[in-house]
Amino acid sequence: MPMTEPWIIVGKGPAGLLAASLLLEQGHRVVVVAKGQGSLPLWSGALDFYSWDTKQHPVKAPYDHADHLSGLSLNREQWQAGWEDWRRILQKVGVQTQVSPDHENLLSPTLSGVLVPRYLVPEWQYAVTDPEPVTVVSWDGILDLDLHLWAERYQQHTKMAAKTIQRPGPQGWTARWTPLHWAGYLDSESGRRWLADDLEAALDDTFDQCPVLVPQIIGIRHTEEILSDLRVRLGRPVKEIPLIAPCLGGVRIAERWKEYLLGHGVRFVADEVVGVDGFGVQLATGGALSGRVVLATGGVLGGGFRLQWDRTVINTATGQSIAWSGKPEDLSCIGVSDANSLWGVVGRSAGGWDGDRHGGAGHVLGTVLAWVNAMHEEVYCAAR
Amino acid sequence: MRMKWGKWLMVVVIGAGATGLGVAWDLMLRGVPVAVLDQGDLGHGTSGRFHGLLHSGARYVLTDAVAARQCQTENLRLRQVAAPYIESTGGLFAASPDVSENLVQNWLRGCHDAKIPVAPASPVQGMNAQWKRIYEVNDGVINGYQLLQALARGIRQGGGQILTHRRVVGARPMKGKIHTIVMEGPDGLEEMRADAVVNAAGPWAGHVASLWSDPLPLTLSRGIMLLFSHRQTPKVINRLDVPGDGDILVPHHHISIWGTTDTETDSPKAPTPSHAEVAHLMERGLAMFPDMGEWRVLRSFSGVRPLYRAPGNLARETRHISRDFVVLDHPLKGAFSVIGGKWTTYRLMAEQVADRVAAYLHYATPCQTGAVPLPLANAVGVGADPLLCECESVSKSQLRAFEGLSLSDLRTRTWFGMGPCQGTFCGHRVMQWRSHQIGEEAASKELAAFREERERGMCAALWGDNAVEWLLQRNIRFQSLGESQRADD
Repeated sequence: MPMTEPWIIVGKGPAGLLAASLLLEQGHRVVVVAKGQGSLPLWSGALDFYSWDTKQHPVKAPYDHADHLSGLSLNREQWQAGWEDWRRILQKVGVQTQVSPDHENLLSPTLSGVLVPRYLVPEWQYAVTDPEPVTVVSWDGILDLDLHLWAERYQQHTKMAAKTIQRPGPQGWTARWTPLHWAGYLDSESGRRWLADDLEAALDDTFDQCPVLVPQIIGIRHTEEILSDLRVRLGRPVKEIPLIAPCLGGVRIAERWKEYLLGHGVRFVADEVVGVDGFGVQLATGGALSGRVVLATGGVLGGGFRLQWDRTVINTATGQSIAWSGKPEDLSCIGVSDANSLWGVVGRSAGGWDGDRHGGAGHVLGTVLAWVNAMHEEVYCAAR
Repeated sequence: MRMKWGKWLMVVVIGAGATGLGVAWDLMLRGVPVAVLDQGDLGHGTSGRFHGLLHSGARYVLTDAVAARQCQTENLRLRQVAAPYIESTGGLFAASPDVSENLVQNWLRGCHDAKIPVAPASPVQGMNAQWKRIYEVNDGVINGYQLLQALARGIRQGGGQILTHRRVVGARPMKGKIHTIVMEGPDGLEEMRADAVVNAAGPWAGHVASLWSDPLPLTLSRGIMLLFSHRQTPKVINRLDVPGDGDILVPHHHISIWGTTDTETDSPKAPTPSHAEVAHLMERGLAMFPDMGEWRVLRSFSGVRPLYRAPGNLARETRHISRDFVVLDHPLKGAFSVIGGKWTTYRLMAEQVADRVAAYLHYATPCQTGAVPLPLANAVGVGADPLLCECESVSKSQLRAFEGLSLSDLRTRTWFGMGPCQGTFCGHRVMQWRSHQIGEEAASKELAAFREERERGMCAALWGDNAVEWLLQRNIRFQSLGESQRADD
């Protein structure tokens, strides 16, 4: 395919990586420029489509609400094909996901013990269509997961029992180990042996048909292997409960995804984009890259926009200033709503999403699909 | 209703701020039994909402020579009796190019008259290079909450009582004298015998005095402050001019406080700063520190000053009402009110109030607070237990020392949730710990109140990394923790 001009994706959060993967599949050359590590480590790894309705009630059938996302007019088939694409890409990347058989939301517990709707969930994370009794095991020093409180809320919320088991850490453990320390240890041979022995010693016959839940600390590189070995050894599934950012689920996906793209010839440039035009981008270190540009720089949280004390908002990639009402609740939907013809805009940098609860991944997918559609139209028109 | 507290002689002090606790500490040292009541926790009002400056007095030499002299004397005295709670940073006064040489000379003369030591100084990093006339004085920094806790400790060790979260709702006289104080606390209404009562309720002093039907000439003024991460300067920085808005920068622990404003307000409750006020402070700040817009802002907060409007003072602007204080008698015998003043002079105010109360009760012992040092804080072992609040290094064992307190009281005692993350990563951890004492539901409510208070301050200064942090907080709360946005659950 004689594509001379590369695509330059600015940003390596989920929107940037998804756009890069789709372009790659269509045979384009792709360069990803990002100054930071991307926003995936802020994500648990579970992708939510449309999780909460406008009254903040959990949503069972996200397709019925998809129109609320970003005002994008995608039909059910387009959405479904989009999610299938994403799922397929994650599979290529090396992340197996679960999705409900009837394309509804799954239920997955937070670290406080309440179940929240999620659409596409990595295999390592606990997610079900119907709540069931569980056993939860945690280890000393995992501060964010308080088993007692977790079980109390889980029971309140689901009317299902939760048996809790608190265990001491391994030899060499200190009270200030973070989940990242834990993951490094459990990825090692000795860590894996310790974990299997410890879980075997901890569990008794209670709920022995039901899953065992553990905090999300089970390694970064070998998670699936460790969990499947445990399943064989313990005779029941072991699944994770995501913790707080940096979330290992997101870290795992980010690392694998980048490795996959690198392996397929995508170039990663660690630099800050300080200017954009129809021909490419200028970099903070002085250089420039030419190609067609897609901004996936994120919103205010991701760093795509920066608020100044005088209430101006700067687009960090283009340097342009845009408007903001001054209301905190409008911050998460700051973005470039009038995407221009010179460069594409996807993810939170596109704006128009009301943030926090309505489905971050749905918004990412929707804006990427909208951009892909627009691009196809453009190519089609040009060809005619 | 059963008389729950105080069968013998008792002085009840209303308000556990610097003034109230200062009065109680003073009376206690004179041998007078005391009890302090507050509707909130220690420093619930103005004392917990100030810039932290230990004045040298130099700020007041152009407008209020008495206040300037008092500040200087008390400054030196507090360094003696409250040394662990004072940081001897020193302070600079810098004049902008717009300030006349005449004013600078008047200021220097005023400092000399007030016995404030002054020396020429060089600018600190980041200051506007145009501000060339710079002088150093003996300003300092007060660790307000720690000093309040030290006073409370001293009062309790001496047998005095401190009852927080009790709102005074009634004062009953007998034969023209105060006899009983009625308060509303966590267990309902309680009564306390009082032979004298000191109204040190700060901005609420008017409400309290109305309980014995004697209105006070009280004017309220609010001041806005901006809090930045890091010590942006090693010393206190003042604008050398007639006192105005946005002219004090105070390095405090590892943060900096920039303030303040002065506008009349009618509610004693500290209001949320408006964008206009914050922008005004920023504009004033940028003149002195051109990079202030890039400093990492943490939040904005406000405090309410109770000011005494002397009869005949018709000043339209609250800035022109003296920062001096007054002690008032009421027609109801045994009832005293104290209004006005500054943190720096709390001890002097307390002394004068205590003199009056002691005389009324025929106690002859003189004041001792100028010589007796405040008790030290109990050392809390940090040990190897996990840190719940990483920004401020607050461990579980530090919380245990205050077991029983609510989340927001724990915050001001241990300083958890005060750092750059503003409770994002530690709020729920402390809530979990607390839920083991009071249950999930009650602890969740406390967390919601804690979140609301932190959010209000963050949202009043929503720019730069603080805006990023706030959005991260919301993502963590609603995505990772599954906290509810709905008020009804």
